[in-house]
Amino acid sequence: MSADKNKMIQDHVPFIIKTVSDVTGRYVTLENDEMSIALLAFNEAIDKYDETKGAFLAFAKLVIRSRLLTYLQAEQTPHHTISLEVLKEAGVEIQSSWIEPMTKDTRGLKEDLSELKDQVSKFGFDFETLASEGPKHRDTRMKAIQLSKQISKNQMIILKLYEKLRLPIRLVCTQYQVTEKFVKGSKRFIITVVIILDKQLKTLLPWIEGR
Amino acid sequence: MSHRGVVVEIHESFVIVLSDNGEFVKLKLKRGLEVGQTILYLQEDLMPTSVVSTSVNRKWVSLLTAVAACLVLWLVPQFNKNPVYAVLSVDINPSFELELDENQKIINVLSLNESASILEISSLKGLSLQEGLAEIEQLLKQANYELTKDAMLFSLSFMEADNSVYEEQIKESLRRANISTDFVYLKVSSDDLKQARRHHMTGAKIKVGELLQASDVSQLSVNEIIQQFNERNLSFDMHCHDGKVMELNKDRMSQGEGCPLH
Repeated sequence: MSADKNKMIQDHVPFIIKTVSDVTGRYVTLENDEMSIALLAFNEAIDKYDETKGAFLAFAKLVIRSRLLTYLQAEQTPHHTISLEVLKEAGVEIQSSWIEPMTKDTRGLKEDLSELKDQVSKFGFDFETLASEGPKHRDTRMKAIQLSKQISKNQMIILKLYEKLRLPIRLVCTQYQVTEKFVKGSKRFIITVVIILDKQLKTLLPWIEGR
Repeated sequence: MSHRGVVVEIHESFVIVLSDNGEFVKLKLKRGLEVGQTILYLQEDLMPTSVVSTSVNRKWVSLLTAVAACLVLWLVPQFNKNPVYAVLSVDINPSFELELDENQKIINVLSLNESASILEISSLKGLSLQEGLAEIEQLLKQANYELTKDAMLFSLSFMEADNSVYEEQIKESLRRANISTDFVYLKVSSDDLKQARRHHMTGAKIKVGELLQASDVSQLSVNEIIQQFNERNLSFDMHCHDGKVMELNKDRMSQGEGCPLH
C-alpha cells in the first residue's frame, strides 16, 4: 500500500507543483516549505478520500490549497524547515530534489552567477543566448560537458581561450577527436562550462553535472 | 514533466533558469522571483525559443529574417495579432487584472497579490465581461468577503489608443452588473498600466498614488482610498453608492467636487 501510495505521489508531482503555483501565483521555490506542505497535503488527501467527495484530483487540490493557505498565513517569512526525514515519518518517500535546494549557500550562488555573467559577456554573449542556442538534446549537452571538463585541464587551450576570447575550435577538434560541427554548434555552452570549471564556481558545479 | 532549476537572470517579461541537467532555459515570468532561488517548473512554463543552426548559411538567415519581418509588419495591422485590447483592473483587497479583447471577452486573468491568488479567478477566462462581473461576486462571497462593507475599485486602460465607445460599454457593464457593494471607477493611461505592471499592482493604485501624491498606496484599502479622496475633494470618473450610479462630468470634477461615498 505504501509503495502504491508513493508511486501515486511521484506520478502526481507535476499536478502538485501546478496546484502550489496556482495558489501562490508564483513558481514553487525550494527555499521554503511550500512543496513539502503540498506533498503532505496530497498524502492526507489520499488517506481521507472516498468517492462521495467527488473526483480525487479536485479533492486533493482542495486539501493542498487549504493546507498551503494555513501555512502562508502563519509564516510571515517562510523558511525551509521540513526535512526529508519528516516527510518519510509522515509516509511520504520522495526524491530530495523535489524539496531540497541544490545549494543552501544562496549568497555564494549569487556571487558565482554574477562572476559567470561578467565572464561570458567578455566573450560577447549572455545567458539569453545560451537559453536559445545552447544544446537542447541531453546527450549532446552531456558530451559538451565532458569535452569542457577535458578542456578545463588543458592549460594551452585555456590560455588561448582567455587571450583571444574565443574557443580555438580547430585545436580542440584535433586534441580531442571531435567534429568541428559539434564544437561549433555548442561553442558558447562549452565556453560557459569551461569558465565554471576553470574559475571554480563551486555553487554552479552541481547544476552542470546533471542529476 | 517537472524540472528543477536555479534562477540566473530576471528580465522584464521572462526569466532565465539553469536546470539541474545543465540546460539554460527561458521561462515565463512570475512574480516574487529572485536570482539564486531554486524553483520547480513545468513544461508549460517554458517560453518558445528559436534555434538557429550555425551550419545554416547566415546570409540566408538574414535574408529570410528580413522577409519575415516585412511580412509581420504587413500582417500585424491587418489581423491585429495582439488580442488584448484593454485591461480592466479590480481592487477590493484582492487585486487582479482582466485582459479583455475587442469584444469585451475576458481572455486572460492575472492575480497581483496573495489575496487574489486565493480566489479561483482563472475560472473567469473565456467569460464575457458581464458574466465575469457576476462570477467575481460569487468568488468573493465564497471567500467570505463582506461585500456590503468592502468597496471595489475598477480601472480601465487601453493597450494602444483610447476608445471612448468601448469605455462607455465597459461602464455600462459595470452599471448593469448590480454589484452588491459600493464601487468606484477610474480611467488609467497605458503608461500608468506599464508602470503598474512593473510594481505588481493595478493601474488604479498607480493613478490613485499620483492623485493623492502618495508614494505608496499599495497597503490602502479601497474604503480608505475613497475616504482620502473625499477629504481632499478629489473625484472618481464614476462611482456607485447604495446601488445608485453617479458620474461626475469634467466641469464638476474640476471644481473639486468630492465623491459622495461615505
